[in-house]
Amino acid sequence: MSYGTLKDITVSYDGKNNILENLNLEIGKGELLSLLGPSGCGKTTTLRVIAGLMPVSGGTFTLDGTDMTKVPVHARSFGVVFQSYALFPHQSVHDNIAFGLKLRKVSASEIEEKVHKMADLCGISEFLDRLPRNLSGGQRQRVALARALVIEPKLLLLDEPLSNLDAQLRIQMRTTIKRIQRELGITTIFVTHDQEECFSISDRVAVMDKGKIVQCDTPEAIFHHPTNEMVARFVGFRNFAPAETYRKLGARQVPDGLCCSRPASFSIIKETGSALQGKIEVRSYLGNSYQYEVGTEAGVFSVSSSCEPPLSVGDKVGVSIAGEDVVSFGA
Amino acid sequence: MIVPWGKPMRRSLYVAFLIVPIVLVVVFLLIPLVLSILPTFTKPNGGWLKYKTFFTDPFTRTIFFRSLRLSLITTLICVALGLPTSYYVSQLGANRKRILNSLILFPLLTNAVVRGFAWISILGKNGLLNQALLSLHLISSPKQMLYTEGAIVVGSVYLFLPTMISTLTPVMERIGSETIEAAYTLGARPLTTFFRIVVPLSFSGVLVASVMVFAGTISAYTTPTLLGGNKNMMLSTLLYQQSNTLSNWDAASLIAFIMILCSVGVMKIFNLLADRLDKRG
Amino acid sequence: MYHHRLLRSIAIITLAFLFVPLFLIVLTSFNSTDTISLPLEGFSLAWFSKVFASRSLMGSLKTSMLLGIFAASLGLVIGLFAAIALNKRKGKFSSFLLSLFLSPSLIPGIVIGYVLFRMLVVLLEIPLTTAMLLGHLLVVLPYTVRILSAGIRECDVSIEEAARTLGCTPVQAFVKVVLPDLQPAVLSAFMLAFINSFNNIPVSMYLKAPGMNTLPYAMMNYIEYTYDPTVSALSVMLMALTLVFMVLSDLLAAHGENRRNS
Repeated sequence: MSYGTLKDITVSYDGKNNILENLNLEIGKGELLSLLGPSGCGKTTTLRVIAGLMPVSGGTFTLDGTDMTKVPVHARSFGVVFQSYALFPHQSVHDNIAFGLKLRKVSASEIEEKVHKMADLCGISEFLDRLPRNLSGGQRQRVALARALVIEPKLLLLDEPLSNLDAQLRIQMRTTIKRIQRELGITTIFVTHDQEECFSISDRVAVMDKGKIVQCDTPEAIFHHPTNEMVARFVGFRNFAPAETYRKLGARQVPDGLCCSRPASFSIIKETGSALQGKIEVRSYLGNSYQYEVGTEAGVFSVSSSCEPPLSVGDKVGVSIAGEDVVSFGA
Repeated sequence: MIVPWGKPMRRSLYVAFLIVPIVLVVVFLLIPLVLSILPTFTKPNGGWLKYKTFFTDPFTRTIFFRSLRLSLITTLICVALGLPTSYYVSQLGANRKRILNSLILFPLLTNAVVRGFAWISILGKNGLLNQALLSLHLISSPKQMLYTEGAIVVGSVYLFLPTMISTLTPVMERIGSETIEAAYTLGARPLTTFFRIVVPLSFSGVLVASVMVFAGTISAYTTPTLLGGNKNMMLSTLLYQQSNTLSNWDAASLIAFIMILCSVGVMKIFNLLADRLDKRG
Repeated sequence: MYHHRLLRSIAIITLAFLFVPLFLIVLTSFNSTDTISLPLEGFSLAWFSKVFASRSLMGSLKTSMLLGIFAASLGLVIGLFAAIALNKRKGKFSSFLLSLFLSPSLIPGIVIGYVLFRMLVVLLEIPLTTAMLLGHLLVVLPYTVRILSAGIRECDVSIEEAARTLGCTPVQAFVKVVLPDLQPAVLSAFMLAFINSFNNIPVSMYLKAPGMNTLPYAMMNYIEYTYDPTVSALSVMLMALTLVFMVLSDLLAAHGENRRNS
């Protein structure tokens, strides 16, 4: 039973070019659903449609049985965390968080209680009196989160909240977000272009490309069984080639059509034997392993391996792959 | 902050480049200014007495307070009209915004006589406004609108609105659309957002622009003369009358000094306040 | 992004308030009768020809134009050297000098006019023409110094240094490399200087001579004695010129930006 539904959503700036076209999405209650894709794919637009910040030229958005399509932004009561955090520069952290509550005519004592509780949850209690400009990026992010959550919204919408943070902080913060989301049980939609970040915390992922949802499933399903080329590339598949090529590599039962595989799935051996013959053309060091570009009569393949001793450029090798490691997209 | 660009210039060249403008400003403006004004303090029956007379004589007193009053009213009206307008312009799409910005600056490039004349032809006894009101039978005889204090305010507002709007629009843009959207998502309606977020964040810009409008209005000559006439003199009109028509140098210098105090003084006070506010963070 | 109805109405009314009076002048300038009224009784260009026929208006136009070009050019050169000096050598006095050069814009125009008149003309008996030019230079200086100083600050020092390493003397490097880079600032400074000199009233009022009037002053005189659409027509012509100016400077600015970015 879905909690929220986007049905046939079409968004266009000028009536001619559609940013989103007949987009359909189901949102489950309490889940963390991510919108993942390269820049320009329409993920932020979709989020803004849900938030009410982007008008639609067609389609409906329903939440918990109510049609929200025509409801104005300020009446939707969704918590939104913007990429730039958008904290009010002239107000303290405390007042920023309290802003939404004050508008809802909550009593002063209740405001204090809720603000402090949320600040504790987000780990920013010691900054309540500070102004946004005296906070670090990570601290500002947590204030933005607290501000959005304190109004007890029905949906939490996050627009690339971690992209302005450094790598280590990003990993720390995504865990914090996941923990808070779990604890509050709040339905969350998370927009990102970072596949690893997305897969680590999401219950489901909607991969988007050019204004359309290309695949919507759990991270595991997408990782192992991408349903098209774009998604496959996104999750790390390489070596796109027709089925015949893969049969030569030893995957005999692969169905017809375009196939791909992960560089790590290959077997690479110095002696030849039954594998396909090839020669190493380029070698790159990846830290844990080496990535070899192997030229064969069937094409060049990216193969990664941590075999010891490492192979060298010019070595004659044999490559093969098992059928179950090949993903095929059918004819 | 002046940061040197490339290798520092030779001292002699530096001086040579600067000597002409320095002479221009110091010898031909500042020294004459001081020479004109100093006597108002040092001359035998000059000094504080003359200033006291200025403020007690009903004629000059009225003019002084009128100048202050009308400049203040003009500034307040410009703020009240300029805030919503600059906010509106700042939220428009790039193309429309660019065209509007240029159009708003356009009146600033026409001279004050053209702008004053526009209002003369609108507000005069035979002016367009009276014509329209008469033909609509809203009034029975032409109303006196020109040569009133109201006309001066209208003309001054007209003169300085573009300055207010064009100073505030970049300030509004710097607020950023995401900050405003954040307020909406938290439940604030557009009007609430305007008063709780936009106005406080544009406050410093409003102050800067207000100082410019106030100083400009109190210094202006053409607009109050054309639209206020001799019955509603301001400090600038009085200054011209005393110096040109009456050759009353002492009186004129006195007025000049008071005018400088009013306009430059306001700016300096504002700068000091701004520094104080900045330090407090 | 949506608006509150009241705020948007205020904005639109304010914008209308700015444009309608000028628009009305344009309309009334075409009237066939000698009244400034609407609706027009007939369409006529008579007032435009009357402007050209008026000796006082045309004479003052010529004076204002010459004065403007002269003051803007001279002010540009002085301002350019000042801006270069201020930016090429950081002294204790640099900010003080900058304030000094910008000070004429802080002093009420009518006070400047009065002081120049009293001290230079009456006391020192400097000829009016010279005093007028000095007055306009003072009016123009803040604009040229400010704009050129900003333009120089935005210049990339490395292109000048590159020219020097390729063999240019400092002067050559400046002329061949920096000046072209400054082109948009120079043009902008010249135009703003010209416009502020042309439109100036307080200084010109004091320093005018018989037979040497500036246009705004001649217009003010004309209004005092005659109330007919002649001044409307002249205003329309001036507005048209201003419009041309604006479009030109926009195009040149865009062109300059393109050259800089490519």
